[in-house]
Amino acid sequence: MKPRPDFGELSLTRPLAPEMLARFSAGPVRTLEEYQQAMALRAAVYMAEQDCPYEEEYDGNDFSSTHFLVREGTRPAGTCRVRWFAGFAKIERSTIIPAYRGTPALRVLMAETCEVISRKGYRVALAQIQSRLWPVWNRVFRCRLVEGRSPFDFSDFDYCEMEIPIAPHPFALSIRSDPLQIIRPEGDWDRAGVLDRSAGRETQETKAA
Amino acid sequence: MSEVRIDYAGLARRAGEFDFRRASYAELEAGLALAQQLTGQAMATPASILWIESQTGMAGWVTGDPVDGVFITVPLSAEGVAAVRDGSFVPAWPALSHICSAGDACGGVYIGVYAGATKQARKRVMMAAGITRLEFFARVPCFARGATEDGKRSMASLGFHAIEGGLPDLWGQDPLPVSQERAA
Repeated sequence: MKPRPDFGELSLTRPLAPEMLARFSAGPVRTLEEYQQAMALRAAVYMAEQDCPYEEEYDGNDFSSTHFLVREGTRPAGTCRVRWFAGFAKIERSTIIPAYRGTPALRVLMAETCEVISRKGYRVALAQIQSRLWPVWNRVFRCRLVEGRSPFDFSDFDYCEMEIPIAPHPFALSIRSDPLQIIRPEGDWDRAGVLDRSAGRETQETKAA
Repeated sequence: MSEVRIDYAGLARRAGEFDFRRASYAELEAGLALAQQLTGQAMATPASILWIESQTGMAGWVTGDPVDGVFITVPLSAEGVAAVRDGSFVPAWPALSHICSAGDACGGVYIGVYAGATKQARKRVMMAAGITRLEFFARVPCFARGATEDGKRSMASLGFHAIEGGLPDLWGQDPLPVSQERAA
């Protein structure tokens, strides 16, 4: 069973109830199938609902991001992507399809996303949010508007910057973490992966000897 | 409303003189388990205290090795003081706007936990609580919950009084008179 996001959920205004995690699961996108699901959700929300032009929605940053999906069973309910900078992570393209708005899907998605951010050792996340949605985000996250920054606009909406403190993870990955742990699939660092299992095989050097 | 700027280095130094140190995650786990065992009350999770600690720069303190005493103190913003008084403050999961982020002005202090397993540990906890209050937070109000009869007695001995209308079992102490602060 997947462990609960004990440190990621600390960025939320209240903890996740067990039934929320029983209903929804979330985590990093690892396959082309999941990637396609994430892009489909964004097309439905941003292009269809918000009339965002295709080239503005798919802005050239998707292949340099970590994408996250939240599902109810096998049905994708929402997505977001994270871009990584020195010192902060940036949460972008947060999306919940209409059928799942008002459900815990968004909270589960954000808790699992912040869990990965925390485990990677980051202490703060930045989000550019539509200004009209600040009251909504302020009910989701323990967060603040970035002081001294002016609102700005693009793609036909007014935006402001929101800063989300990330909990210090006691087992944050570091440059001195176990080498095999570091190469496990993103977000699944506590379970032996395919490369751990390959480690017992004879190496090229021992074969040559 | 009065506020103070927290002297974080001074606080750590004085706490160290009473064998207190800022707790690691493992020490918070041990300290909170100890407090739960001693008081019979459910505690905030170690992860939650770690989050508060990371925002405020001071929250979780322990003594002993292995840990035999714990002292959780949460600096409040002015909004947080009002929230404690009106009952909207959530000690185990406080709103970001209710706590005093490191470097900001502090409007009050909420003592979440203080517990010691031995007579010596309890003495260190009481001394650390008293010194912290007198030397660093005298100008602002201080709050705590009277979770046990022992706790209520010790708070009464420190000059706390029950407060109606806020959190259940809320006790508090107004800012101390300047003369008392100087005498400390």
